[in-house]
Parts: sequence; C-alpha cells; structure tokens
Amino acid sequence: MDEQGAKPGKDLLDRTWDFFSSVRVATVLLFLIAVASIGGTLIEQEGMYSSSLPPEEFYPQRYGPVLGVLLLRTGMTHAYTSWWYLTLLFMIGASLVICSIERFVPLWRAVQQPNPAPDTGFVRRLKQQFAVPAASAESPYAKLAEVLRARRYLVIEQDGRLYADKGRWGRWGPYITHIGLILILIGAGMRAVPGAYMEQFIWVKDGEIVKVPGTDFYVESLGFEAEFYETGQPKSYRTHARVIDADGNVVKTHTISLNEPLSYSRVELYQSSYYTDPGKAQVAVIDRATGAEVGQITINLSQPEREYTAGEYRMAVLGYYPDFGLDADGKPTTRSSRVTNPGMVLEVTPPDGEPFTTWFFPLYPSMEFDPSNPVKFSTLSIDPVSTSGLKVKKDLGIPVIYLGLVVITFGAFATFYIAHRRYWAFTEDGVVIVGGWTNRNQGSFERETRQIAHLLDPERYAVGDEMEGEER
Amino acid sequence: MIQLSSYLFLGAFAAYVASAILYVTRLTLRRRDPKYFDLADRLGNRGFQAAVLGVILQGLAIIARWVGSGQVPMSNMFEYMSFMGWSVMLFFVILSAWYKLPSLGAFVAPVGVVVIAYASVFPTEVKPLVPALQSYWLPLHVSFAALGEGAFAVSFGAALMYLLRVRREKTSQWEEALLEFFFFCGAMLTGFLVLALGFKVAGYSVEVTNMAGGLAVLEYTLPPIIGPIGSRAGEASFLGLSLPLVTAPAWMKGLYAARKLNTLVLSALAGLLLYGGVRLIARMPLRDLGTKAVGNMNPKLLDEVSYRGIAVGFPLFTLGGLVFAMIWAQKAWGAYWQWDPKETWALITWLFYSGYLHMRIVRGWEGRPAAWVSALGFLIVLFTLVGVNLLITGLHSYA
Repeated sequence: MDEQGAKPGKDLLDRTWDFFSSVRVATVLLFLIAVASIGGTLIEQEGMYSSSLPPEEFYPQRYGPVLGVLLLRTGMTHAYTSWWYLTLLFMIGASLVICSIERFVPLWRAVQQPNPAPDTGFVRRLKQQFAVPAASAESPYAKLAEVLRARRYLVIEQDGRLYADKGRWGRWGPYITHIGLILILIGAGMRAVPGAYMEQFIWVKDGEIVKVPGTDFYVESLGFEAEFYETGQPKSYRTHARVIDADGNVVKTHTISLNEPLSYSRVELYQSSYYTDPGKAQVAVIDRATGAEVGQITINLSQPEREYTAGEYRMAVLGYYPDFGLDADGKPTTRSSRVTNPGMVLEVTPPDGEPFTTWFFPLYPSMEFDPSNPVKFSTLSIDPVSTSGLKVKKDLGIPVIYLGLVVITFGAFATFYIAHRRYWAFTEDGVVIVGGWTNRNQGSFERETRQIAHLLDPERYAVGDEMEGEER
Repeated sequence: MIQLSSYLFLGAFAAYVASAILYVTRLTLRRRDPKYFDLADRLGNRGFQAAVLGVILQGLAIIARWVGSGQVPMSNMFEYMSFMGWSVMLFFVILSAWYKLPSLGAFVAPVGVVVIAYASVFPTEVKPLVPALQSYWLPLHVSFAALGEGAFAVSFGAALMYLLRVRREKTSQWEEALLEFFFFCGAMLTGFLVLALGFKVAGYSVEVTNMAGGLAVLEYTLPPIIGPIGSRAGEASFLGLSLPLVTAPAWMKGLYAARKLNTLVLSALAGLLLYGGVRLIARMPLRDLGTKAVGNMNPKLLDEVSYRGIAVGFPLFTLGGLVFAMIWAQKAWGAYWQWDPKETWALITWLFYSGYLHMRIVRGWEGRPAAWVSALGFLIVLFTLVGVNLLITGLHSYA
C-alpha cells in the first residue's frame, strides 16, 4: 500500500485488523445485532404472510403507502437477508475470526507455558497471600506440593520456585465458544455451495412411488395415517414409507412422523402435510327398467381404467374430470388435478341395443343429465385415499452446525463453570511465601486458599467464617 | 396423582409467599433499629428454610404431575412458567447459601412468587401432546432454557438492588425515572395477577357479543369494562355497573383485541391503585423506599451476584434455548433455524447477555452500565416468554 496515504506505521489493513480485534467493537456489534434482529419479528416477513399478493402490493396495503414502501426499500420485509443484517453478521464473523487469531499465541503462552519463576514482587502483589514455614531445607515445598496435588493442581517445581495451577480449560472456554460460533457460521454459509443444499416438497399418495427430487432414489408410501385424541386434537401423523433405489431394490423401510424423519444418503424426508381425497369408488350398475343390479365395478378415482365391464355391459371412459367444473365457454373442464368432485363421460354398450354416452358423478350418483338412459349408477362406498406431503431436505452443513453446537456448549460451560486457579511460591529465610490468582469466582478461591493455608499452618490460619454479604 | 401434584404445588406456593414475607419483614426490621438484629436474623433463617421447603415441594409436585399424566410437565404455559418460577427459587437458594446474602431474598423471592402466580393464571389441566411436541427434546429444551432464565431473574434482582444501592452517587434523571418505572411495572404486574387470580378463583366468566373478527361472542374472565365492537351496555354487570362501558376502538381488528385491551386497562388501573396506595403510605417515591431497604449492603457484592447469575445462567440458556432448540427444530421441521419470532427473540436474549459478558471485560463498563444491561436483559427474557406469545404468532403458538 502507498506509504504516504496511510498514517505512520498503520496502513488500512492494520487499522481494520485492530478495529475487529477490539472487545469494545465486538460488544457494540453484539448489542447492535440484538437490536437489528427485533424488526423482523414485528414486521410480517416476505413468504410468511398469509396473502397471495406480491410484496410490492402487500406491504403498502398492510402498512400504508408511505411506511409500506419504506419497509420494502430498507429491506425490512426480508430483514434477515437484508444487506444491513448480513453486513452486521459478516462484521461479527470477522471480529470472531480476528479476535481468535489475535488471542491464540498470548493465551497459549499464558496458560500452557507459564513462567514458574516470575519476579517475587509480582507474587507478593497477588490478591491471595499466605506464608508458611518451609518443610525442610532441601525441599521447602514438599508439604505445599502435596496439599496442592491432593487438590488436583498441576505442580511444577523449578529453579527453587513452585508453580501450580488447575482449570486451564476455563481459560480456553471463551476461545472454544468462539470457534464453535465460527463453525456455525461456516455451516450456515455452506448452503451457498452448489449441491450442498436442497429443499423440495413432494406429495405421495398411498401406494404411490415418487422420485425424490435432486436424488436418484424413489419413495413409496405404504399408507398415511392420522390419529386423533378423543378431544379431536391431533395425536400423530405418520407415513409408512419405503425407499427404493435406482435399481428398484427396497433399501430402507421407515415410518415417517413428526420428530422422526426418514434419512437416506444425506437426504431427509419430513412429515409436513397431508390431505385425504376419495380413492376407490365401489359402484353398482343398475338396469333402470327392472331395478336389478347388473354388476359392480371398482373405479380408482385417481386414475380410472379405460374400460369397465359390469355383467354384460361394457363401459368405455371417454373423459375424466377429477375436479369437475365448467370453463368460460360452458365446456366441462377440471379445475385441478385433485379428486374433489370427479365427473366422467362413459360410453355404455348394453348387450342388446345401441351404445350411448352418459355422465357419471361418483360422489353425486343421482345427478343425471338424461334420466331416460337404460342404466343408472349407484355409488355403494368410497374408500378415502390419503396423500402425504413430505419435505425433502438436504443440507451438508448440518454436521458442521452440530459440531459447532457441541463445541459452543463445551466452551460456554468451561468458561463459566471452570475457573483457572494458580499459585506461585518462593522461599525467603526459611519461609514459603505463596501468592494466588484466579480468573473468576474470587470468593470460592479465597476459601480454598484459606483452607490450604490452614492445612499447612493450622495455628496461624484458622478457617474463618464464610464471606458475609452484609455488615451487622 | 395430579390432584396430589396440585396440593404440593399449592404448598410450595404458600412456602414461597411465606419466604418472601419473612425476607421483606426481616429487611424492614433491620432498617428500623439495631436492637431487632437478632430477631431479623432469625426471620431471615426462617425465610431461607421456607424457600428450601418450597423448592422441595414444587420439585415433588413436578414429579407427581409427570407420573400422573405420563408426559413431561413442560408442554403448556402453566407448566413452563411454574418450572421457571421453580428455577428462580432454586438459583436463589443456591446463590444465597453461597453468598450469605439474605437481603437478596427480599427482592428475588417476590420475583419467584410473581412468576408462579403468573403461571397459575393459565389453565392448569393436563392436555395431551400435539404431534410436534412428542419428543424427548421437549423436556431438554424447555428445562434448560427455564433454568437459565431463572438464573437471569436472580441476576435481575441483584442488579436492581445494586442500582438502588448506588443511587446516591450521581444518578441521571433518566435512570431515576427508569427505576421508578420498574417499580410501577412491578405494581401493574401484581395488579394483573391479583385481578386474574381473584376472578379465576371466583369463577367469573361472561360472554359478550362480538362483531369483530370471526367470533360471535367473546368470553371474558374479567369484568368487561371495554367490550368488543358491537357489544352494548347491560350485557354484563359487576358491582352494580352496567357493562361494558365502552367498546374497543374500530381500528383494533384482532380477534381478541378488545379483551386484551380490557385486561391491560384493568391491570393498569389496579397497578396504579397499588402503586398510589404504597406511595401514599410510604410518603416517598418507591425507588427511595427501595434504596432504604437495600441500606448499606456491599455494592461490589451485589454487582458480583448479578454477574454470577448471568454467568451461571448463560451456558444453561445457550444449551436449552439455542443448542437443544436448534437440534430439535432440525429433527421436527427439517430446519434448524427459521427466524420464527420466538426463535429470534431467544437469539436476541442470547446476544444481549453475551454483550453483557463482553462488556464486563471492557474497563469502565462494569458496575452501573452492566447492572442496567442485566435489568434490561430480564425484560427481554420476559418479552420472549410472554410478549411474543401475546403479540406475535409463530411456530411456538401452542405454548
């Protein structure tokens, strides 16, 4: 970088680095992100509101023309993917990474390579102090070391000095937490990698085999079932499913329910919706003149056959409308592919007589356009068929996220539940002078120090009262 | 078994109330005259014992409900809030045994009582679990989050005491007003609880015509001073008053907006009455009363307790509120994070408290600013717990 443009000794990169390595900056960023997160919970977010209007029309309508447009312009309508939120996240990410790099070496030196023989003045200035007679001339620290080891301290004796510490994890705790957070950011960012993330939705009818999008395998529904409590509250939604691979082999059988997704080759299928439609209709064909049944047929309403035979009657399906309606020109049409109001056009060929065409509505068999036909239909029963809605999800970032969560948990507990405690000791005129230091939880460390002193010199150090919060 | 559980719960509640009263009395006596010190200390010990007894009884109540219903008692607002009240008292017992700080009881035990009382406002019947909640992650997620929040509540109590303690040293107008506002909010909350519990025990319920939203009638469990649009005076009566007096403004279109407004206004009135009453009797702003009660406790220690509450609660909240929550969300919905309002508010809480923890490293930001952040942090916790459910709907709407 150009020497003259920057301040002496500090170029832009240096200053950026310093900025992000500051705890002060990190603290401000944390509060800022907390505040920035509020907006999105108060404003209905894009894709979440229950209206079919596009955002450009919905927001001005919902919040008024001025505020609505302002919300759209500022990105408040998709707050968590807006440029300002992502910038803040990026900044806290930078702060995490830079702080971690910056602190690693000093922390390593301080915790893993402590100086066992610092200046005696330093030891004397420590908050926790006691002095006990030396155990013997050759090994003055023998008793102290024994007591400390019994309390699981790591004791180092070197150059006529003693150093002991425990709870080093406590010092690494914040560091570990930050690494966990970086892992989570990485895991969340992995969905930007092509092929690492996929979200789809499929409908699988009972008995149907459906290709799972984005994969080379199929899922077959062996049946969906919904259970309800007596109160009418739902109890469980389940899809009995099988996975069939590209070669047609059944490779997995699993009952998908809420909290129990099906998992196969890094893709997960989640129970998320269902609907039930008329499935198979059992229909009696009746001779209108005699009223006698000439035969029964079973129509699969999701996919009728081309032809049916009842007794000596043959019926060809000329047209099928699963969701019958009339279009603008008054012609029959189907409004959707779902079986809601099925209607079919049949060409009936009686054993004796001319073939004729007729309409048949399995749900409303009495609705007839021409009551003079020689046959009529009667629906005896309709079996419902369920269609299960499955969310198909693939996210290769998940293992990284989980690892991050484990690391964060470990780090957070280490930070606040493990205290790093250390003692330094030196001898002077046959007296061992001990100084103690801890990074947190002073009160309990003070008690431990007093107990250690008491063990070594019970006459001089009584185990006093616990810390009193209020003066009398 | 569930009957037994509710008796145990009632016993625990009585013990907490006794504990709160004992602690407050102890503090009042100590301020009056040094000759009462011994009596006050005895009261303090009794208060501690009552708190321990309450924690044990409620622990048994939770187990009994669990055994009786066959499902983890953490699936509705009553169960959750009462568990949180239990964690408040649990952490209070632990921290006060640790620090020998009986005056803390006068501030924290009432917080515990309020949380438990609030829990009792919700329906207490056992409801079967909806499919989404049938998972072992439910107790893990909920109990750890509640434990963390309980510890935050203790920190809040200590922070409030700290702020009252250091008032004499230059406090800005803003801080004074905010402190007084805290007391007013406390009075309003108490007012709401007294009303809600009083009318619940009395079994009060009226139905009022409702032309807003899709409901023909709206059921009120408090006297309907403010009725929904379309209601007319005389549909209900209370103490000879022909109710409702007014209808909710037309722009309030929410299904239950009129009832929420009615509850809010009534609580504010009750709170105002309570606040005014105490203020008249004491003849000073409540913050002065608070400062008197805190007396000359060691501010450094209060600061430390406030910090310890957050230090203990933070990992627990991280585990319950975020880690378990994310893993469960991934299992149940196939997405570990969806920016659901409750989820986001848990994140806001977490960010706020991590801000607090970093703040204590920066010189000059400990003490008073930290205490304010801790106090504010607990308001965020409360909003996450209650406000999100009342004001915003989302994936947690069953809670």
